[in-house]
Amino acid sequence: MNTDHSANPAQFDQVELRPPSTVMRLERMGSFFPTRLSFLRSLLRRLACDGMQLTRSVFELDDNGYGHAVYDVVLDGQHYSLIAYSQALAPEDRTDRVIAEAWDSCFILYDGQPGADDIARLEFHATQQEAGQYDEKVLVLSRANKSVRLFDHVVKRLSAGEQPDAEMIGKIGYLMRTTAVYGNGKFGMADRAEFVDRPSLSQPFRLEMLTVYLIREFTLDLINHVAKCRRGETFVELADGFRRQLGIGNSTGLGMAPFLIGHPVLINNWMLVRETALARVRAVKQPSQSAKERFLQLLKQTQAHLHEWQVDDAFEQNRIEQLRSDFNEMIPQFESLTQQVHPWDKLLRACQTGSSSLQELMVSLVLEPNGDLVDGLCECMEDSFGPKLDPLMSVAQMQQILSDHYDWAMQIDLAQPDQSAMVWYVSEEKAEPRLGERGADNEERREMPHAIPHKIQALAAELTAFTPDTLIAEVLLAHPQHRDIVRRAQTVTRHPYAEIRDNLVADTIRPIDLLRCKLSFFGASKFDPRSDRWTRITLFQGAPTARDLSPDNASDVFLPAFGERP
Amino acid sequence: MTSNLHISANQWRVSILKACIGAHVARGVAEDIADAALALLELNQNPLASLLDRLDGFQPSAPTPPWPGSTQSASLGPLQVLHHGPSLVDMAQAGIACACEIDDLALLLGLAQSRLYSHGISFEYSRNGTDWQSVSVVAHNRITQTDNGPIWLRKTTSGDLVPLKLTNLPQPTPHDWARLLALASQIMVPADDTNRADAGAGLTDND
Repeated sequence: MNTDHSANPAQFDQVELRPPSTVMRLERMGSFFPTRLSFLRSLLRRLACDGMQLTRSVFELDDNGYGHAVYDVVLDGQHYSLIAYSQALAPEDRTDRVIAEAWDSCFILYDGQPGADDIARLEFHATQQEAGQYDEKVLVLSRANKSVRLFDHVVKRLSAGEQPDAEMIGKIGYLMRTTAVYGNGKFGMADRAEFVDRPSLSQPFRLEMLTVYLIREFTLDLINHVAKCRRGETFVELADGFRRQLGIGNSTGLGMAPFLIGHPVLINNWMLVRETALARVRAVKQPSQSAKERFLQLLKQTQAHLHEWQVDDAFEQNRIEQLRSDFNEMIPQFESLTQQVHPWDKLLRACQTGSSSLQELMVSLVLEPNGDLVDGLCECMEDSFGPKLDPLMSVAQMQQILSDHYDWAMQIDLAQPDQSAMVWYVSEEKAEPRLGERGADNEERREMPHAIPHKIQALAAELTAFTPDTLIAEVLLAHPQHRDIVRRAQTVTRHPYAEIRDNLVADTIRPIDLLRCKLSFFGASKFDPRSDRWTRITLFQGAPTARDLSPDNASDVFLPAFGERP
Repeated sequence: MTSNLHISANQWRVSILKACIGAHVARGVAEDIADAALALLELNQNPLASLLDRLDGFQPSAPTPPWPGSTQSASLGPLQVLHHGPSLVDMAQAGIACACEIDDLALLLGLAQSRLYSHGISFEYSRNGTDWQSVSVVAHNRITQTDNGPIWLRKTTSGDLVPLKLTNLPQPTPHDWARLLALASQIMVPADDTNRADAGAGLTDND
C-alpha cells in the first residue's frame, strides 16, 4: 500500500489523493452522491451531539393551515427561531421558478427569539421574499410550495383515520419543496461574518441546512393540523415511520451553477476534504467487524434505493437503470471484497472499469462506515480568505502554472464554433442566471465569467510579449483585463481542486452536472432532473425528526430506501 | 426595518462589483475596487458618492502607460484608479516606489488598505516624495476630491493577515444606493420570451 503521510500530519494513514484531472470533470461531478461529509449530515450529528431541544413556541394557524408558527432551537446557548408564514395560493400562481411572486409558505430564520412585533413586521417582507427588506437579525430567508398531490392525499387519509399510501410517500418524498434558501447577507440579512465565529455555525451552509430541517418540522405539524381540523373525530396523526420518510423537496435551477465557478477556494476545500476522506479510508487495512457489517447492510439499502429511484427524465432514468444493473451484478464481488484486507480500496478499484456513477456511489458507500476517520474533516470545509493575487510572480512562473494546471484549457481549439456556442448571463428578472446560445450582440460586461479556457488562452498569448522575468504586476499594469484570470490561475496552485476542468461555454455543457455536484455536498438525494438545467431533489428524507434525533441515529441517514409500510 | 435600508457587507461588495463591471471596469479590477470599498467602510468612510461620480461615464484610459523598467522606482504619469489603481498597489507591493498623478486618492488608499486584509501588507504614501504617512492612519481621515493629484506609494511592512471587521458598516443614502443598483443592472440582460426559456425550467410546477 502506497501511503503518503506528508500531506496528512495527523496520525491517519492515507493513500494518494485522486488527481484533479480525474475528479474535477463535469461528467464525474454530475455523478456525485451525498456522503456523510455532506452539510445536512454534519448538521444532524451536531444537533444530536448538542442534545438539541426544539420548541414550538407559536402555532397560530387557521383550519386551512394559514397563519404563522415559530420554532425555537438553542445551539451553544444561542436561540434561533424559524418563523413560518403559511398562506393561500392559487394553483396558477404556484411555480418553482425564481421569478415567482407568491408561495404557499415563507420562512425566516431569526437570530434569537422574535417578539410578536417582530413576527408581524417581518411577515410583510418575508412574503415578498427578494422584494422585502431585512436586517442582521434575519439569518436565512426561504419559501416553499406544497406538493399539492401528496399534501391533499395525506390530509384526506389522516382526516379519515387512515395512514397515507406508502408508495406515494416514498415516491414523492416531501410535503413541501423549497424554491430558494437565501443567506449570507442577501437583501440586508446578516452577513456570514456576523455569526461564523459561533462554534455551531462555522461550517458552510449550516444555517441554511438548519432552516430546511426546521421547515420539515413545520410541514409535519402543518399536515397533522390541517387533517385534524378537517375531521377531528376520525383524525389520526401521521405515523412516526412516515414522518421520517418525508423530507423536504427542493427545486433548483441555474442559480446554483455559478456558485461553483465563483467560489474556487471553497469548492477546493469541499473537494479536498472529500478526497482526503477517501484516501484515508482506502488506506485501512483491516476494518472492524462492525464496519464491515455496516457496509454490507448499506449495500442492501443502496440496492433498495436504486430500485425506488425513478425519474421522468429519459437520460437520467437510463443512467439510473444502468447503475442499478451494474451495482446488482457486482454485489457478490462487493461482499467478497469486504472480507479481504484493504477492503475499501479494493472495492473502489473493482468499480474503476464501471461508470462514473458506479465509482462515485462506491465513494459514498465506503466513507459511510468510517465516521471515526473522516467526520472531523468537516471542520475544514470553510473558506475564510478567497482567491489572492500575487503580483510578484514572474511571467515564467505564470506560464508554468498554465502548463501545469491548465493544459486541459490550452488544448481546446477555441476556433471551433462549438467551443464558444453558449453564454452565461444574468436576466433582469430577479437576477436569474441563464444559459443561452451566443449571439453576435453579446456584450462582454453582460457575460458571466465562465469561459475559463478562453480567458486562459488570451492570457497565455499576452504573456508571450513579455520577458520571462517580468513581474506579473507589470503585465497587469499594461493589461488590467487579465487581472481576474491571473488571480484565479494563481489560486489553483494552492488549491488544486478549485477549477472545473471542462469548457462551460461549449455546446456540450450540461449544467445539471454542476447542480448535482453542489447538491450532493448539501446532502441531497433522489436527483430528479426536469431538464438539463433544472432538478428536483429531496433533503432529509429518511432522517430522524427532531423528536427522534439522538447520537445513536444521527448517522443513520444514508440514501433513503423504504419499500415497506412503517 | 420598513423605512430604513440595511445594506449588508455582502450587498455592498456584490453591488459595487456589479456596478463597476456595468460601467466597463475590468472584472478583476472591479473585484479589487469592491474590496477597497469594504476596507474604507470598515474605517467608517463611505466611498459611494465619489465612486458613483467616477463610474458615470468611465472610459478606460488608453494607451496604457509604458513601464519605465526601473526596479527601484517608477514614474507612471497620470493614472485612473478605476483602471490602474490595483496595479499601482501591486507595484508598490513588489518593492517599487511609484510616483503618479491619480484621480481618486480615497479609492487608491482603500485599495492599499485592503491589502492589509488580503495579504497582510501595509503601505505608506507621500504627496511630495519626501514626507511619508501610513495609509492606515491617513485612510481613517476624511479625504476629499481636492486631495487628488501627485502621489508616491510604497510598501512598509508584511505580516499576518488582519481580519476585516464587517459589522456596523456605514449605510448608503437611498439615492446613492439606487444609483449604484442602476449601474449594477447594466450587467443584466433585459428579459424576453426567448431568454426566459434559457432558464430551462418549466413555467408551472404543480404536482
